[in-house]
Amino acid sequence: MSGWLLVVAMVAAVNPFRSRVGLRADRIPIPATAVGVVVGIAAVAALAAVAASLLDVLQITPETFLIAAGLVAIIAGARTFFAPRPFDEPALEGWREGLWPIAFPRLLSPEVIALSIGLASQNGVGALVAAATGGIMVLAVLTRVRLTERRIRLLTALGAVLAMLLVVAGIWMMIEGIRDV
Amino acid sequence: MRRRLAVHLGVLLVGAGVLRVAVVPAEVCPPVDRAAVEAAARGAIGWLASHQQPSGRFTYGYHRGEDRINTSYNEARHGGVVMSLYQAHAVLGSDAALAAADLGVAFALDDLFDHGDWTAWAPGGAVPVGANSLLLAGLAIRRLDTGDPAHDELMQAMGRFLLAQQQPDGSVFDSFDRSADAPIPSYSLYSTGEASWALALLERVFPGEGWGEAAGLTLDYMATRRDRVEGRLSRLPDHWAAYTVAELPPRLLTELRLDYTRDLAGYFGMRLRFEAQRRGDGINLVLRWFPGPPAGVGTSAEGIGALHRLAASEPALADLVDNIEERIVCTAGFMVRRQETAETASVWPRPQMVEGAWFYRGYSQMDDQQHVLSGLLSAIPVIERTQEEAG
Repeated sequence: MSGWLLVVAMVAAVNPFRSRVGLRADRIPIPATAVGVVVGIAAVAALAAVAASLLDVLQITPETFLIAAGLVAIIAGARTFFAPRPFDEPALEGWREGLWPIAFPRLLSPEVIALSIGLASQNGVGALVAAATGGIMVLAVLTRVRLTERRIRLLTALGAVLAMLLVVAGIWMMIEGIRDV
Repeated sequence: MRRRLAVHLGVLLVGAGVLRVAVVPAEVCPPVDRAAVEAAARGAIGWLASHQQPSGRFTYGYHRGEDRINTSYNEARHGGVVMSLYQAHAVLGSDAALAAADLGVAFALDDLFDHGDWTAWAPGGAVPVGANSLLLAGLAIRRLDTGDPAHDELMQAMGRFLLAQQQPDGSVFDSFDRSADAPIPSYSLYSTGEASWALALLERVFPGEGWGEAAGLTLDYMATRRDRVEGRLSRLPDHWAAYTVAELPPRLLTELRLDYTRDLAGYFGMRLRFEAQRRGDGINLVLRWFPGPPAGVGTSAEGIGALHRLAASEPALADLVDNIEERIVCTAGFMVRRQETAETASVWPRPQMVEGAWFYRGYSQMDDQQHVLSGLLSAIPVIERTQEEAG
């Protein structure tokens, strides 16, 4: 997978537009956002770092897992396209809001987990974490924006666009997984 | 909040479980060493040779549950078994394999058709390209292995038959009509690749006579147009094409042919990864069905084995070597385990018809042994090297 496609895949998986719509409408305090960003990036890095060992233990070749990760991306992309607004989650107080719901379930969604494991062996841990960080940082910026109805509609539309890109990336991953030796 | 956390974690766990069971079951690669692979190969040689008739004809198939021998025959498979046995002599030095293959050749030599400008095996009056190609491939492997020139003239004459069947676009008509004195304009699934491989082998035996260029023409046809022209919806994962490209001299390895090699490696790799997921029991049986027909698995094994030789020597394919070797070793592991041993054979009415064979749902055929044998033979150098590296 090329570098650009990796960026598209990870940013679309993180989907900062949809994730922002799934958080409270007010500006989110910086400490909470910082915790969410750090935990999110650390979790992606940890998943990518252990991906090879994890697949080894599960007796799955990285090429085969790429097919599974692609399937998850396609399903997640389709879900977001047809249901672009996630359920509201009650937030924890203070900086803990960074853990719930920012880091989980918004950032560490099934598609982010699957792609972190599936793409690490193809592209390397560093490149994968950098690509995911791009999406996470966009979300960090967006948490400083107060959501109005108009902004929610715009972010929802942008989230749907990223969902379509996630489907494309998922199809690409499945094809690569099938064509790889 | 806890309820919502439980919901999200539950979705993750259930999703991961479904993915594990339905999409990515474990790819089981039993450990295997050279001795075990060689023993399995010798077991297959034993099955083929010990049930061969004095005429040189092999036993076609056997159903162990019904204790029934299939008395039909297929000449292309005869040629394939002969070829595989010659490969076995080349790799293992098996005299039993050489003797059985030579007897198989004698069976074919009784039915030669001399056209004047070419000669071909014409079993029952028909002149099929597939059977001739595999017989010729076997003779070429024998020549390269033993240096015995006994069949040189015949090989060149059979090569000219293949050239007579080859069309300007590289396609190969699959048989010749003796009464009309013309090729029959039809194709069969594998005879095109078989013909190109035989021609590529002739290039090694008789370099500089143009056989390699002819093989390359058909290889290009297979790489670019065959499936469309011959009415297939998807690309045929053709192990004979893999043998062909692996046999071509470096000067004939064009970018197109190397790209095709990469595609073929992908097909075989995917097939073998999928096969390693098959256990044939429980929920795995429902989702993955029985372990695949041995001939089918064997073709992928020998295809990727052939590509290994090329990838190991061709810098443009060097990135494929590690994965190819992983698939080769894995496949050897599960195919050795799937072979019938003396112990597992003893419960059937005719254990001697079972031992050394690979069965698919109770039935085994000569080409099951042929293809798996060729696959295992190609695995031996790889396993030898990995054993040496492991100390």
